[in-house]
Amino acid sequence: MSVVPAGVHTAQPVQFPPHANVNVSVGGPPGVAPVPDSYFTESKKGEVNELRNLLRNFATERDPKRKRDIIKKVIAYMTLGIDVSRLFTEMMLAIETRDLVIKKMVYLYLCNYAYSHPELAQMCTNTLQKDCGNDDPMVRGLALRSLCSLNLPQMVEYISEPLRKALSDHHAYVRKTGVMGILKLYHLDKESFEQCGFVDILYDMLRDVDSSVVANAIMVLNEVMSKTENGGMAINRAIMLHLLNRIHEFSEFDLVQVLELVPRYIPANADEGFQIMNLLDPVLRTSSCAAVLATVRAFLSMADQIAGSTEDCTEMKQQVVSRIKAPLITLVASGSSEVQYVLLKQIESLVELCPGSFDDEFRQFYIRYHEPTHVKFLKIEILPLLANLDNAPDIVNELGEMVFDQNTRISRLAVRSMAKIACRGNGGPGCAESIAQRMVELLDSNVEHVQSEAATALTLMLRKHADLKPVASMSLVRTLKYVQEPIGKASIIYLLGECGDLIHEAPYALEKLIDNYDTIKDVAVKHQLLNACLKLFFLRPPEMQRMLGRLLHKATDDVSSQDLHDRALLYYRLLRSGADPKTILAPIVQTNHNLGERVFTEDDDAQLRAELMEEFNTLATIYGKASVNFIRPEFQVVYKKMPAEHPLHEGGDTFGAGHVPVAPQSMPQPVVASREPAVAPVPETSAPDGFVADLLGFGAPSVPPVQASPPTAFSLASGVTMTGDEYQSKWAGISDADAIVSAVSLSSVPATTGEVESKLAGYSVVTMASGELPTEFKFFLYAKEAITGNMFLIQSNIGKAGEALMIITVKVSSEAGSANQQQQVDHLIQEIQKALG
Amino acid sequence: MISMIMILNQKGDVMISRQYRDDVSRAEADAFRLQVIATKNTGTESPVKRIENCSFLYTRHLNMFFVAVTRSNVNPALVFEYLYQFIRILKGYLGDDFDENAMRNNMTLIYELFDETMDFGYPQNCAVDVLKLYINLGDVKPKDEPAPSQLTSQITGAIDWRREGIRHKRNEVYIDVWESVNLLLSSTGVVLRNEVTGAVQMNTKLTGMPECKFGLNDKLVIEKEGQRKPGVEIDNCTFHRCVRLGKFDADRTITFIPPDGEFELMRYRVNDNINLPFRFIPAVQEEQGNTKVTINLKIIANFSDQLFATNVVIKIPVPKNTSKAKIKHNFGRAKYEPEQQAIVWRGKRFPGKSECHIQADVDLMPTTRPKPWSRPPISAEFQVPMFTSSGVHVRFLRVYDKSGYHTNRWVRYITKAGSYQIRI
Repeated sequence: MSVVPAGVHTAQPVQFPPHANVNVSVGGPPGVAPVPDSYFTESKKGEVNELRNLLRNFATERDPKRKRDIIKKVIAYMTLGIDVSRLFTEMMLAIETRDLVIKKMVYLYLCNYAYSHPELAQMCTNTLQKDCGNDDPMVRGLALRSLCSLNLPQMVEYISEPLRKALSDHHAYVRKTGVMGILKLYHLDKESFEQCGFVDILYDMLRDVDSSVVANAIMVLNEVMSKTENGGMAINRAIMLHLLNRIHEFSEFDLVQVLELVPRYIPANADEGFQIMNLLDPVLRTSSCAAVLATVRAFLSMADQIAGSTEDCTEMKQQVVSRIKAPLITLVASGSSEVQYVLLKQIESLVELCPGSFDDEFRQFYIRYHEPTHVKFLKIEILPLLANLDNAPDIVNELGEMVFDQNTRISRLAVRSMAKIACRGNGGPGCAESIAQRMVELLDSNVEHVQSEAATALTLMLRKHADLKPVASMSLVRTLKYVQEPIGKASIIYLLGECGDLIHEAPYALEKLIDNYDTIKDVAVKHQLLNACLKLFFLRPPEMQRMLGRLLHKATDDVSSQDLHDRALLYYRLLRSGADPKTILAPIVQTNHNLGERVFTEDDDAQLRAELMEEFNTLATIYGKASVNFIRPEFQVVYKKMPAEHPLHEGGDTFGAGHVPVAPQSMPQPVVASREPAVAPVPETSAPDGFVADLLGFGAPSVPPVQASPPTAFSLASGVTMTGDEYQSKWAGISDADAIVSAVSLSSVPATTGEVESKLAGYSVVTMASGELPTEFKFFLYAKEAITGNMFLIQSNIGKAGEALMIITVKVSSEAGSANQQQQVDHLIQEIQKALG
Repeated sequence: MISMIMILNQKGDVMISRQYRDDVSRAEADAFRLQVIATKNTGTESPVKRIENCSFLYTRHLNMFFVAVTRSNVNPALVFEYLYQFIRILKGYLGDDFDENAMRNNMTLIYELFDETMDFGYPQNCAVDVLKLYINLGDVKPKDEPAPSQLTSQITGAIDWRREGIRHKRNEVYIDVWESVNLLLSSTGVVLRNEVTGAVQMNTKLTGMPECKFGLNDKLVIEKEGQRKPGVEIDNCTFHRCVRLGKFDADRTITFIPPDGEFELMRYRVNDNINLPFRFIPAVQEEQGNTKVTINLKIIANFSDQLFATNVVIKIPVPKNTSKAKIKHNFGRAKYEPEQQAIVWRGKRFPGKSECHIQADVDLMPTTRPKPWSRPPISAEFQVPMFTSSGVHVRFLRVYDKSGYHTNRWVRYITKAGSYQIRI
């Protein structure tokens, strides 16, 4: 018997009736008459047997399309959760094929069932190994991937050799598959992984020409090393700068891997930190929100590292956040709801990190009618954080619109958010009163949950601002009658107790409740009733005395809550002891009045926030919990910044770290005035948004990090001459966009142009023309590099007032292309620095 | 890293799944089905769900759930980017609105894609065009089979979005500038929020490896060039990865080697000086006794009379207990649609500089317990071809190629309503 649909031998793709046998093993829906087990097993056997027959014909089948269909059917059954592992032998026979599609499917089958048939799987290693040496790189890669995915410990000895070969394959596809293979080997057998010494090879592969191989190597190293003290790949300056210099080569996903290394890196000095930020700045313009968020994290971490003091740090973070604000808002505005959700969560933590930074964009956080509710919730929660003197009325109005939303959770949140604005007290004078006024109006609204929330909100606000009492007390007695929700009711009773001195009829409002004490179900209400009555007793003893007596009597008889019972007893005994009223009121009233400037304890979570910032842009920010709370120990990763000591003085490193232009040995002090944003006027090449100018202070990326290429010698040729016309045509021939701008600080402002000229001439920098303007000196200079023959055309000016700073604009005219221009210019700048400094 | 990707249907059955790590099992799929899909709260709950120590990040396509399962502290943005990209890839293979059946019929193709786009839980090469070159099990037929050596260099090459040796008989570029206007007006007529998000979509059919330079009437560029013409202040923009970002940062020129076929070149956002295509003047009165509501609405088209808006749909909400509505209007068709709880006013063509008016008297059924009406906003949908709210227009697109061929360019502008809401 067979349940196989008709049309097996046609060229049509196999059609499955919807839900056919999807969950055969799970059992049928309730209500279906029980079918004997044998029926199912037999029918399954039937299907599988049918397949087996088909597979037997496989070898003789000529038509490749039919061949594919047979294998496809097996895979389809596998997907449905039917165990087709009994066909293992037959499938193994099909592995010898030249058809890549069939090969892929058989490999998939193999990876799925190898674990249950280890001996049989071992038989096919031969084929796999052979395929690893195939001419087609696709086949090599595929075979290698499958070989490593078999997940059989006994296979390790067969894996390591092909793996090693793959790592030096001439084709990048094979290499990157090999790199991932190492990781699989690591999980399979850590010992042989150690023996093979793959870690060193992986570090070498960070220099691979292909960016995807590099990215894979980073991922693998990070995971393999995650349990070491470094918490991932060891980073040093050379590696970091090498990767950052190639940042534009990486694809969107790979880019994120590189960016995620940056927060763990400690820059050698402040300048380097600024350069890294400069280098990463363009990434903020990509449309990949993963890359943008990773950059944000990198920026924040750099700010942490660079800043000397905590004030510096806060200020710098403020600058960073204002730089990244626009890109984040754009992504939120155009992203789909899931991305919006993720971004809003990150923005929320940024707002808490730098209060005020997103204030002016508060309209972006107004909810839209058709948004999914999880996005709406987040927006409503963010809005109160953005309130300041100017926008608080607008935000409160907007929240007011949401109060009567059909979704009760939204309307509750809206009320809570309004209360938050009042409690945070950043809405300016009068804001809290107007919010309290609104709350009182809401108490009279006809919607139950809104009344309840408003009452609760009022209690919070009253604890913070005791002067709101007159506003809050207006309609309490009336509202007490129709608020039903326990929390709301408890809040109203609390308010009555607090405002007892203003509300004359308060005792009588409570009297009814005391009389109906037995009908009150909720313990919180009873608690508040007890507290409120006690407070009122001290305000108006004659009216309250008997009522309190009755209440205490009932409460001490109440067995529904131990806490309530004990508390009532305590009050009773205290009162009877004739103690000082202050002692008696202490346990209820003490915490209520002195809040003033302090925040509620639950809002004061600086430590948690700091922990979360460490894990910015991970699930931790989404859940609002540190990762230790939801990640199993074996998946925990230590977050460690490195390197602690900078190998700055080790020359001759393979990466050329010794020749970094900013390395301290070549520049006694950081010459670029990075701390004084004002002194760096940025000529035409500056980025349009003020970021570079105000944060970094040295204009366009003038002093980039090292080039990965081997160090180049640099010397200026002497005795070079050039005519004025030549100079002009060359200058005009190079676009302004290619010009490189830098600054050199001088010991003092020179008296004449000649002074500068003579100094420069000593270093083979020739003056074409110079002049003195009322405010500045201007120089037109040129120089020739001795080896490459590059001509440098330089225009520079020195301002007479203020800082002694020489602004230099360099254009390079070269025959050899622009490979090392940046580096050469850096050397040139150093020469000039030497001459004048 | 991601431990498993699974695709579930509406009932929560796993249609297809690929397990990359053995730290999760099908039991997790069950947990997800019971705790997320079965509760039917997927719009309300966050798209990131933690069940015990396992995190599920999911998104939807039609009624299918694409779920990534992980046990480690992943970068959520990255995971969502991957899921979106995977859906995009499937769309490329199976058509824009592929459904469950299409998925079942192409199971092996999907397995292949799973294997190629992710290895051991880390995203690998995800560029659709490149994948299409060497994975073509499904209906996609390779247009022209490239030589294998060239093909494989594409898989890992630096310009992975375009392959070499593309030929077209006619070299053409289509540029679509899509803008969506978002507006939120308070009931007193105050603009609460107003912005335009735009996208420049391109369809390139160009031979070789052409270098393109693209220019909008960006205010900063125009000012730099010293022209007198007014420019648009673009608040922020993001680009397709083919655009040279360094160049843009240096002098704000947009240069790139485009992918072949359709892609989104850039997105931008404009906040100031927005030309609203429609002005709404509503007046809604609830009568005493809660039995009647009178609605008056005037709409003025603000764009040139040479143009017209199409597919205009205006939804005017009415209370739940509406029994009937008497509607008078001078444009399109309007009727009360109980399932939408709104009067829906539709019109195919709305000429520019014109004005129209609707008046509705709504009778309410008396209810035992009067509930206040939440007064949802009036919302509008429309499209205005050849009009941009922000004023953005394409100034030039230059194509440079070695062979120096001639390129035909077509530019189209469409403004549509994003979320266009007027509170009443």
